[in-house]
Amino acid sequence: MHGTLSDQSLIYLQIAQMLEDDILRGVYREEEQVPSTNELARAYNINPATAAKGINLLVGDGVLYKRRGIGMFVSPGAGEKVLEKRRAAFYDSYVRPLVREGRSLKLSSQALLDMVAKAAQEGE
Amino acid sequence: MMNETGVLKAEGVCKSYGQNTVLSGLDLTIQPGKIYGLIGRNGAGKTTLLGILTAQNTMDAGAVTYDGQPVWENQWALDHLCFSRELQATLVSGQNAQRVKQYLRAAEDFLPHWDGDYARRLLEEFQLDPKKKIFQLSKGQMSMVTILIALASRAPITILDEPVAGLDVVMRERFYRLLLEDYGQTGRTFIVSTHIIEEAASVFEDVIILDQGRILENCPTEELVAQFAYLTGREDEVDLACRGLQVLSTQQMGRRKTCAVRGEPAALSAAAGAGDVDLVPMNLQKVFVALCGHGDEL
Amino acid sequence: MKRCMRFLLRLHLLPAAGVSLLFAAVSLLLGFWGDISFFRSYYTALPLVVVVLLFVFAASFTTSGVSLALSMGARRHDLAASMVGGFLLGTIVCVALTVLTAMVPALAGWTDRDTYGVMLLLSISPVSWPMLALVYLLAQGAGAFAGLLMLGHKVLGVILIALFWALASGLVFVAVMIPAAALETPLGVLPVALYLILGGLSVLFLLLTGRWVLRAVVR
Repeated sequence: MHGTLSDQSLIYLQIAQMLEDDILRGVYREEEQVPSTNELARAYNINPATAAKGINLLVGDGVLYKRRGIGMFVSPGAGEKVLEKRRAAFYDSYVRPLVREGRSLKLSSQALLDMVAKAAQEGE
Repeated sequence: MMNETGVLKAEGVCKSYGQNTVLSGLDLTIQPGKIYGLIGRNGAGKTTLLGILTAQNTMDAGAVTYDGQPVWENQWALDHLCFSRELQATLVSGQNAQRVKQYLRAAEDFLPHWDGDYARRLLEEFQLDPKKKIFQLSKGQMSMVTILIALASRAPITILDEPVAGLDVVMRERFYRLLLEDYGQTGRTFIVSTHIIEEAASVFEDVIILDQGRILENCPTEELVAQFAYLTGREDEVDLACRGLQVLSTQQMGRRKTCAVRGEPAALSAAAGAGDVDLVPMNLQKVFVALCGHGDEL
Repeated sequence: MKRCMRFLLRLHLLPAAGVSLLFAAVSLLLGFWGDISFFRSYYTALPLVVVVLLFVFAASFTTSGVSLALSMGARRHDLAASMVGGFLLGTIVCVALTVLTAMVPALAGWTDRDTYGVMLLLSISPVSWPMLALVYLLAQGAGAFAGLLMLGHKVLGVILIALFWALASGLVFVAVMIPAAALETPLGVLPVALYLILGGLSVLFLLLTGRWVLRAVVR
């Protein structure tokens, strides 16, 4: 396993996530080709089947599509789809853990909300 | 791309050496076109199993077939297999008195798909001296011979026994790359038996765990790993979270309790979300220790 | 089957016959250069040298060659069959080599020939050839068997090897002299007995070795 992959979550999920991040960052634009499963396998020293699983996940989500005989391409509107997906997961992945952590630190709900507001302001 | 339909199957295989039962009622199916990792403790019988699968060793009971035909003394079946063994320094007489060159010539003699050019390229890349006798090689060099034979064999089902023993990390990485390159080009079936589990885990599509004479698990690596996790936190919270899950081992430090648990991925994340427990994923190596440690190692 | 024969040829027949040929060539060269005593001692030793070579390479084949072949996917039946075939072929080749070498002094017109013992007899008395063939075959069979004994029962193996080396020169002498001598004396029974013993032992060793090969495993 190479480079930026970790053993903290399943590899195919990391592959999918990485490709999603790349799409959001503009590394791959709409209608551009993404690396093939073999290229990904070579780059990260992973089994091609694992890479394929990650790609298929994105195909299932409509983020990528297949052009027969050529390869995998970024779907039109993929960026939006990824954002939607992440927004939907945002509550479970970030908000809930935040609240749980807050609770274990004995912060009141109001204190939490104040903190969130403050951070939001800093961001602007 | 090789498109063999051959399935290598072992059914009810039993093998004992005297009083010592090594394999008992072992069933294993190897589907073509995958890279399998075979892991098991020292003495679990990996080499014995591999020898039996390739008709190089006998079994007391059971059947080993390739594409439905028995493998024993069956040249057609044997032509599809290559068992590249681990070479060892201890055996000075017999096979290990051979020179590397002679070992390779024997491979060329018998392995029908042998690729001489590939072998020569690998020989050069690994900087192996063909004139050296096998017992004069370092452990790492012996592993390189194992790798060379396996890759150049171009056999539809290729088995490597401890191919990375004695190799430094750079060479190990090189091996995984070579293996994946070959697999990418040919799609042939590989079975890699190894002790270095975590490094190799990402290369294995499926993992086979051999423990106490039986196959404990034979399934896709990521599917297996997804079923395991550590739940850690205060002991009462952890106990609550562990309900409905299989607890494999426990470690306690003061009131902190850590349990290695197994369950469906959905059940695991539900358990973690329920109370104040941390869910820490386990990698393949840790899963292996949890399953085959037979103690309260974590 | 073909692969096993090629393997056996390379590991056993070629080296054994090759070194024998080299030895024969060297001894003949010594003859051409005229150093008669040197020549004689090498030349008359040829059959014994061949016997030893056949024994040693056959032993090495069962000690390491068989397990090497098996680990590369050879069939046991093919190995056993090619051993028998290969040993027979080796016998024929080595007998031919020995006999042809024995003919050279006559063709070259060397006059000292009555001191060339075994080799002289071989060149003038074809009756001794079958017996020589049996000795060569026995050497290979015993060698193969000694080789496999060395794997499991080292002590027995060493005993067999020592026994064979002790008897080897006697065997060659007896094998060549007796049939030839029998032409002139009424020693009727002895050659037949010798044929039976040598032949029987050869077959025994080959059978035992073959049986072992059919059950051989690589652990």
